[in-house]
Amino acid sequence: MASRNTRGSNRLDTGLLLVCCVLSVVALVLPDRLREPIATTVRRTVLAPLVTLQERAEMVRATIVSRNDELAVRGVAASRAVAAPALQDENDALRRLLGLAGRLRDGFVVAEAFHPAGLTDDFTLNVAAGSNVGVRRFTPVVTAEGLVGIVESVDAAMSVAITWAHPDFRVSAMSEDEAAVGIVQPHLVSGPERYLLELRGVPFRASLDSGTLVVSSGLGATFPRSVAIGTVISEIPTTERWARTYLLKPSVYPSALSAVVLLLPSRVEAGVASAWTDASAADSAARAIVAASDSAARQAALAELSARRAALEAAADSARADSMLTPLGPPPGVRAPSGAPPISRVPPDTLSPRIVPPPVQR
Amino acid sequence: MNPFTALRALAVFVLLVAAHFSLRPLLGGPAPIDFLCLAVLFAAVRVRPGMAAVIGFLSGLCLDSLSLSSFGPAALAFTAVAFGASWLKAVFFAENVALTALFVFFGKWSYDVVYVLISGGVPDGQVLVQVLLWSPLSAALTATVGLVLLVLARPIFGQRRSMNRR
Repeated sequence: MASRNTRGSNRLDTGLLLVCCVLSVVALVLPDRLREPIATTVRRTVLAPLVTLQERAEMVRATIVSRNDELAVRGVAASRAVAAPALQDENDALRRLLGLAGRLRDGFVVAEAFHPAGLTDDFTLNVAAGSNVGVRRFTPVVTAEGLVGIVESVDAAMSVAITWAHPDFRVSAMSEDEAAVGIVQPHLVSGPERYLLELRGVPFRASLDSGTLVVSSGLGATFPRSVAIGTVISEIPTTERWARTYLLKPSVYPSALSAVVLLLPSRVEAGVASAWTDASAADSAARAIVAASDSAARQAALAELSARRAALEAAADSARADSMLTPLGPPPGVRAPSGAPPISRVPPDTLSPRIVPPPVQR
Repeated sequence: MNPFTALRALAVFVLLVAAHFSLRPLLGGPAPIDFLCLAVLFAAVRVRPGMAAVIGFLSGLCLDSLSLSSFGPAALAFTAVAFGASWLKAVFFAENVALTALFVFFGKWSYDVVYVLISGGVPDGQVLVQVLLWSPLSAALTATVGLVLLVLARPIFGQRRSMNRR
């Protein structure tokens, strides 16, 4: 009896299997016009809640994926927006450096410059070039805009340079037309003006206008002649009656440097001709064209200039008022200098006493 | 199978089917977890082979109705896999957890192989990759999930031997 039941069950199972298989095969070979109504009916009845569930799950997944994509795109856009101006500036600097390299032709080394943040003061600069490529102590460090500083210590693959803002920095300088000579040194005051330069010891008869380009004179053989240093902002009132002192706006701000040019001794001896003066003239012309085309910018510049002049005049008045409190001229018993020193006695490039200039080999 | 046990098995089946249409799209991936296959296999081992074939056929037919390219391959594949699973369980009475995982793995892989070969929906150059790479991966993932579910849902399933009518 049990065996018969089992046999019957087995037959039933086999039968059901065969029926299901046959129906599946029929479904497989069913033409589209018959297949679609069946599928639609199943979708709209049995599967309707499940299809809805699946649609919502797909939407949730799409939302998550799109959210991730959106965040990624936002991050990329933000990072590009942050990096774009810096990249633009760096590209411009590198292009100008390429122009300078073309004008110099040889006798120089291009190297990366970086600030040793947190390890030393703001007036030194690390340069990724050393004695391996011919860099020596007192090698001038320049960019396409002008003078940056001078190498003070040299390792095999790296050098440490002081910038023009270093208290020990000195360079013999002259106006572009060679009418005035003097010594350029940092403007050692507190506040933002600390990052300006002074041109000291200019003969009294040599008057410089605002905007005059000041370049290195080449005396002392440390710096070649005609490297741009800065432009005259104004004269600084001093107690010296036989010489003038001018405040200079530096051509280069070392804080934004990424690459520099090191002038090797051979290039210093050969000179740099008009590598900076021609370029600055071209830049001035370009700036003039741009400024002329932008009247709003021109008006703003004029307004700024007048404000600056007013401030300087006020400062000069204040200085004159102070000077009235003291007797004019040298104190009794002290003879005032008979006149300005001759132009031929231009003071050479100097550094602080602890930095000894290299011997001149010509 | 008493009515209460049948109800519990039906609840697990419904939950797994719901997971197939909700969790699977969320997880995504090239080797997705096949909760419907798990549901069919778990149901098949608790009923007679004939009934398992019917469950597999109906489940496959539902799946086919969602596909625009073919109609019937999932029904045929699930029919064969469900009947085979039920018959094998009846023969071996396997209670071992590892054997169950292996059973799910081969069940899912067999379904994929039958489906791919019959439906023809996979491009010729991709058949081997699908059958020998993605399908085993999906089967392994499904088997792992099945194992975890089996361990977690053991109180619901109770003693399998008592649930089997054989």
